[in-house]
Amino acid sequence: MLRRIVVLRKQEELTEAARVRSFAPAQGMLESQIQVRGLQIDASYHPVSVPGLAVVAKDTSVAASSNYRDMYKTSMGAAFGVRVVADDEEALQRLLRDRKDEVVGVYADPAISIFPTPYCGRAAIGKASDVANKIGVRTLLREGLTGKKVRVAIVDTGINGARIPVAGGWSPNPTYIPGTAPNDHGTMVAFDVQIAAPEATILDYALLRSENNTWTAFLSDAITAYASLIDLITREPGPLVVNNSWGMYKRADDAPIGSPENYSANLDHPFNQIVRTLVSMGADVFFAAGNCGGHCADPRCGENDRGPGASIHGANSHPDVITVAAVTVNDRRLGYSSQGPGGLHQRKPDLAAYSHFAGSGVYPADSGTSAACPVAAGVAAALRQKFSPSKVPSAQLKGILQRTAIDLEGDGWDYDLGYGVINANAAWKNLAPAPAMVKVNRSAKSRVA
Amino acid sequence: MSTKPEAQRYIIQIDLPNAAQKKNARVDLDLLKHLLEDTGIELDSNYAPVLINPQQRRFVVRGEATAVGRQRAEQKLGTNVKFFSDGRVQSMTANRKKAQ
Repeated sequence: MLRRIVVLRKQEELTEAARVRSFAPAQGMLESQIQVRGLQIDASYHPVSVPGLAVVAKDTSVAASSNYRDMYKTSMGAAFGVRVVADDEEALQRLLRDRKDEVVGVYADPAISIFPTPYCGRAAIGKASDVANKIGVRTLLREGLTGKKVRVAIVDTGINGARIPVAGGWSPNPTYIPGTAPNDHGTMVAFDVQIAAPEATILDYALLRSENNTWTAFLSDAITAYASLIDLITREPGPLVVNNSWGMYKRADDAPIGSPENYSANLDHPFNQIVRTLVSMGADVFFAAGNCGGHCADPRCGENDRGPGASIHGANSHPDVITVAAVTVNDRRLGYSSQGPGGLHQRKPDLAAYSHFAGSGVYPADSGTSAACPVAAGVAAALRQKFSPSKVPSAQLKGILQRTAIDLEGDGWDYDLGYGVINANAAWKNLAPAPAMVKVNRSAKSRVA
Repeated sequence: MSTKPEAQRYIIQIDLPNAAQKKNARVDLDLLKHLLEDTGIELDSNYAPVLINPQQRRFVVRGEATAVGRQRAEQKLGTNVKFFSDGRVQSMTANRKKAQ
C-alpha cells in the first residue's frame, strides 16, 4: 500500500470542507470525480488548503503578477491536499492520467517524528553496557570478533597500563614510558575502544603530554607521532586503527584561511599530508569531530569557531579519515558535538557514535566526541580481526560503516551526525560473505514434500 | 633604539628532490641547518627532521623565523621551503579538569 498526499485544484466542495474542517462536504465529489480503481481517499483526513507558488489554479495565469508576494496571495485557496492510499504505482499513474484536469500533483507522505532537542546536561545517560547493546557488540562476540591481534593506537594523554594493558607506544617526552600515565583522558579513551574490541592490542601514543601534562600539544608533535605510526606499519604490516580524540579549539591559534601557512582548511599542511600517507598505507584513522557544536560548545572554542560550518577543523575534517560526532544512548544529539561542513572536506562528520555514558569510571561520564570516537574505532578494530586492509581497504571499510549507520534524523546524510550512528551488526552483515548455497537433492526434497 | 623583529614558531617543510637518487642518504638536522644557514632561522634542536613524504623526499622540522628570515629562506631554497602554522591541539573531552 502506498500512502500519498494528492493536491487537487480548487473546487467549491473542497473549499467548504477545508473551511469546516470536515471530509463530509467533499466526500461525494471526491468519490465520483477523483477516486480511481485501486485508490482510496482517506475519509479521516479533511481537505486542507495548500497555498504556494507551485500551486496554480486552472484559470490563473502564471505570469499574472511580477510581485512574488502577490503571486503567493493569488494562490491562496487555489489548491487542496487530500490523503490517499493506493494499492500500487499503477493506481497512482491511473489517477494522474484519468484525473489530470483536477490533480496538481502526487507527493510522498512519509512518517515523521519529532527531533529531540540536543542534550546539554552534565549527567551521564546510560552505561557502557547500553553502548555495547546499541552498537551490536553481541553480533561481534558471536562471530568471535574481539579485536584480537588488531593494533589500536590511542593518540592521547597517555594510558594507565595497570588499568588497560598496553603493548608499546610513543611520546614526544622521552622520559615517558608507555602505560605509566595516571587514570585520565587517555585511559578513558582506551576503555571506550574496548567496549567493542576487548582484545585489541592497545598502543599508548601519549601525544598530549608534550606541554607539561597540560593535555595540549603542537601539530609538530602530532607529525612526529604519525611518523612513528608510519614506521610501525612499515616494519610490521597489518591492521592498525588510530584513534584521535583531540583537535584545535581556536582558529585564532592558526594562520588565516587562505594563507599558505594555514592548517584548518589546507590539505597541504604537513600534518594533513602525513595523515594521508598513513591512511594510504592501510591504517583506519578516526578523529573526534570536536566539541564546538552550536547548542552547548565547550568554553575553549573560539568565539567564531562554534556551530555549523565553523567547528570541524584540519585533520578532524580530513577527507581520508572517519570523523565521529556524538549522541547519547537514547539517540539525542549531544549539543556540543561539532557540525559540518568541515574545513578540509565539506561532508563532515562521517558518522556518529555514543558518548556521555557512565563507562570507564575515570569521570562521572565518558563524554565529548572524545568518547564517541573510540567507540567507533573499537567497532572498526573488531571487524579488522577478520577483514584485513588487504581484503577490505580503509576507504571501503569507511564506506561500509557509513552505509550501515542508523540514520537517526531520517533525512540521509546531514551535517550534525553524518550518515548516522555506527552499527556493528549491520556492518558485519555487509562485510560477511553470503552463506553458501545449500544443495538440496531430489530425495531430500521429496522427503520434505 | 631598534626593536628586535618578533620571531614566530613554524613547521618548516623542506623538499630535497636531489636526494631522491640517493634514498638512503642521511638527512639530519645539521644538513637542514646548513641549508638554512645565514637566514637567521632557528631550528629546534630537540626536533629531528621527519620524513612526511618519501616519494618527494619531503621533510619537516620545527623552528622560529622572522619575516625577514622567511624571505631569505625562500630566496635561497625557492619553492622547496614552505612555512606552516604549528597550532596548539587539545583533547576533545567535556571533562576539563586538567585540559586548560
